[in-house]
Amino acid sequence: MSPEVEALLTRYIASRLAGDVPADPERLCADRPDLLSDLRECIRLFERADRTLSAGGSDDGMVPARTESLPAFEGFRVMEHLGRGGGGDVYKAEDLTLGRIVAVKILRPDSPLRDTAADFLREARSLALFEDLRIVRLLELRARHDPPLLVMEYVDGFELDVTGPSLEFAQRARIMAEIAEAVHRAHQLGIEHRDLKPANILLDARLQPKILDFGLSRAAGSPGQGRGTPGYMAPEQLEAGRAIDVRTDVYALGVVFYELLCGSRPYRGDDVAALVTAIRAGEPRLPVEVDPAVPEPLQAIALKAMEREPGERYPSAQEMAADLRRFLDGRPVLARPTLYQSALGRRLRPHLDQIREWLRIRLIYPHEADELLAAYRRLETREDDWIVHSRVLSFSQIALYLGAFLMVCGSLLYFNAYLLQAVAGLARPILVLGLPFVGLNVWATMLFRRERRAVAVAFYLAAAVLLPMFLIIFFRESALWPVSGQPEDHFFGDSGIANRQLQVAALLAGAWAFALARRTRTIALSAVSVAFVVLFHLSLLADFGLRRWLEEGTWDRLALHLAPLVGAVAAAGWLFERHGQTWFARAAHYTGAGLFVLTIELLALNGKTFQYLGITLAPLQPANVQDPLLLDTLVAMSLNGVAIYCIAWLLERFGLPLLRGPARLLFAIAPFTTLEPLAWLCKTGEYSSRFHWLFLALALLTAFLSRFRQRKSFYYAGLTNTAAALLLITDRYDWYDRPAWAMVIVGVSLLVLVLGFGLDTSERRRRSAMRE
Amino acid sequence: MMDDRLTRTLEDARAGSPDALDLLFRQAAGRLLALIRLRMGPRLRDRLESRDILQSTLLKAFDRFDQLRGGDSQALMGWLVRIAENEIRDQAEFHGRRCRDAAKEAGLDENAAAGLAAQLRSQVSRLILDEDALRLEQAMEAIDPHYREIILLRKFEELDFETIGARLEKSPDACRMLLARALAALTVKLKELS
Repeated sequence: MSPEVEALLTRYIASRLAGDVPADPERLCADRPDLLSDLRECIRLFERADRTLSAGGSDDGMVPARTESLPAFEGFRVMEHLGRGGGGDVYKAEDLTLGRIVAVKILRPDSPLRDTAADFLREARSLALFEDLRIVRLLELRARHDPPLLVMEYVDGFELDVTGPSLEFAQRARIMAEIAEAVHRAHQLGIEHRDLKPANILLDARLQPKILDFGLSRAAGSPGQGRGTPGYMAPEQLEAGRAIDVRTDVYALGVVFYELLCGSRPYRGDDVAALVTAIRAGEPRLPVEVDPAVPEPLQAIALKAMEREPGERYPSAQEMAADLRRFLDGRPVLARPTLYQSALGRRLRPHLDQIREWLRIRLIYPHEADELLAAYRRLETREDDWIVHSRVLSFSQIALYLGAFLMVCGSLLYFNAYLLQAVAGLARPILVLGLPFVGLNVWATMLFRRERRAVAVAFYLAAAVLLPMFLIIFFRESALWPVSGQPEDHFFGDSGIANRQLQVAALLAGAWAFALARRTRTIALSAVSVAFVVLFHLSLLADFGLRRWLEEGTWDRLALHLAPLVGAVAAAGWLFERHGQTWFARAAHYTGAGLFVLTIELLALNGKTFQYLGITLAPLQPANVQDPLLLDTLVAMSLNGVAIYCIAWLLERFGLPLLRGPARLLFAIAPFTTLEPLAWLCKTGEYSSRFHWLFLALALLTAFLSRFRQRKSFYYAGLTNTAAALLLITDRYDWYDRPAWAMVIVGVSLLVLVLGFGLDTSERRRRSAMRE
Repeated sequence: MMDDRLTRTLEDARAGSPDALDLLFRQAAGRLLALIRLRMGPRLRDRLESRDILQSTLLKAFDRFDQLRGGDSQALMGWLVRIAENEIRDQAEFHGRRCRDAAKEAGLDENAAAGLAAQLRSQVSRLILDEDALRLEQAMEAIDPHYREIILLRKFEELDFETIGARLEKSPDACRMLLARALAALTVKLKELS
């Protein structure tokens, strides 16, 4: 038998046990008529079993009705006491005039609430405004009766917390969506409930919710602190002076849904004070911790609605209902409760403290502590759709980004074919580049609206890279901003493409990618937009003679013209990070770091750095060196390594959190940049052979230095350069056929191994001495 | 006050009235036997005869009739169940070491006891668990113990939901819902067995 039938049977039995007329199987199966015959069969079996169970016992096996004194009202036959709430007792009664069953609420004579009568009348007025079937209807108000009476629609059902736990999660979501929609209708009329709780929500036999007890509602916007049921009160209701609005009801809806999902309230306390403290702290257990079966999207909705800060909640009950409907339609919900982040942060905190403690007592090295802390910080940052920053990889993600990447490769090759004049006319480029661009964008927009973010971003990405190439071809073919003057003045002048065409295409593509990045908040698209900005900058430089600089090798000019871009990108990264726009900041930081290295390296070529500084090391060079600027170039390159290292250190020490990534990149580059010039020097053979040995010594020193900085990049740079130095020495002296040279190296290696063995032994001794 | 009809039935049965005994059996014995069997469980049922326990339970009930507190069938069932549970425990503990003479232990007048015991034995031996009851027993034993317990408390011992709630530390409404789920689970199991 299916679980659905069992759930329906449970509801049937529950209606029997409540002593009411048993629920009608056809009404129970209104949503699922296919289950009706199964349910009937089960009911027959149940009735038979129940007869066997009850054989010889009391007639119905149910609780005998409690006999207690019931009040009498004119025109009604009071049947039973239904409950108590919102300042009054509620009775089930028969309206003798109309012959219908109603619920009658009377003010308790012993009610301590002084203004209950005012509440009562307020409720009456509020209810009269409603025509929503999900809100209990007011039938009659007897204001002059002593005490006043309110005659309401009688709901034959159970309170939400009684029936809720036996329902499927989808049913619970559907019920909650209806409740939220009904509450939203009340809000539209300017009425807030302010005492929403499961006891105030009934479910009838068709599982339709009915909201009761608008006893505390007032015209929206008026104060309502300190009133309501403590477990369901929002933090702002606990403090005088804080604004109360529709989001206070949204909070209560969140708590009701939380309880409906996992069967227990989010906040508990031995007394009201403890409960209030717990509500203010706003750190409930996650519903899945209480019941692992709770679907995560529903948990997210409940937690989003019951955010501590009203600004973080759904702005209206309607928004909450919409998210619940998304879940019911099988779409992703929008809720991202801050509790996830804060709960993770809270749970990470002891780990971070632990790591710092390990570092303090020297259990781990600083670089290990950095790695561990960085790993934990990555957990704290929001999950990104981009594969590089994704915490979880899936085949779909891999395929999507591979597709986008292949699109880039294919379109670049196509563009190259166009430059080589293998493609003519506009028709084919439209087919190959233009149509895919439009199609992918339309498709991506539709997917993005349907919350399929990862796919949408990949599609946008693939389309964005097609744009500049298509635009350039389009401009050229339609003779917009054509080549003027000499073709040599234009970067792609030989192919008939003007600088202006390049500039407009890069600018438009950059703006387009930026707009998409802003919309999707993804690093992938912001990286593309930054790349287009760099392209735009280079296309501007084309006007100043970029082509000539590259042909002539005047790298310093290129470097100097790149410097403003480095500054602009770095400033943009800093600004965006300061404003919490990490989706753009990260891409800008990495681009800035990369461009910085490129710029200072280009500047160092041909000794230009020293030339701009007005000094030269040429007099220190031996007279037989042909290139007078060789020493300037080499020293500048080595100094670049130092500069990169210093910048990395500054960024790591004083930079914004997101700059740690680029700092690590610079740390990795620095030792290579420091040593590579020496390798080049040795290769030129301009100086005395002693430089080879100096290079070897420095390479070995760098490897050993890694011990002090605990940076593996130093070690790798040291090893690579040691090998390069040995090769250069062999080449310089032409010792390729000298076994003695090889034997010397082997001998030295044995010595180093023995040295290592000795060091290891002494370290072991020291460690064991420490242990003892 | 005790329900007049029940009081009379029990008193008459105690005095040896065949009609009263018959009525009593119709009212309670069937369910009591089912409950005894369920409380014993399959392992104990292999070693002990559930009808013996029912018989000694009833004899003890006649003997201690004046200890019965409360006034309806609910109180009577609750009381009988307590006696039956003690009887099961005693017999399980002393089985094999003591041969019990239920009539003697009941402490009734010897002649009356002999007569009553004989009548009881005859009634008990006629008490058969029909197919429905046996299937129900199988289903009861196959469901979750929490479900079994609440069905026993409500349907066999006839406790009200407030008493059950106090015993299970749940609200009466929660107990009612638990019973609904338990009965649904029982029905599912019955459907599987049939």
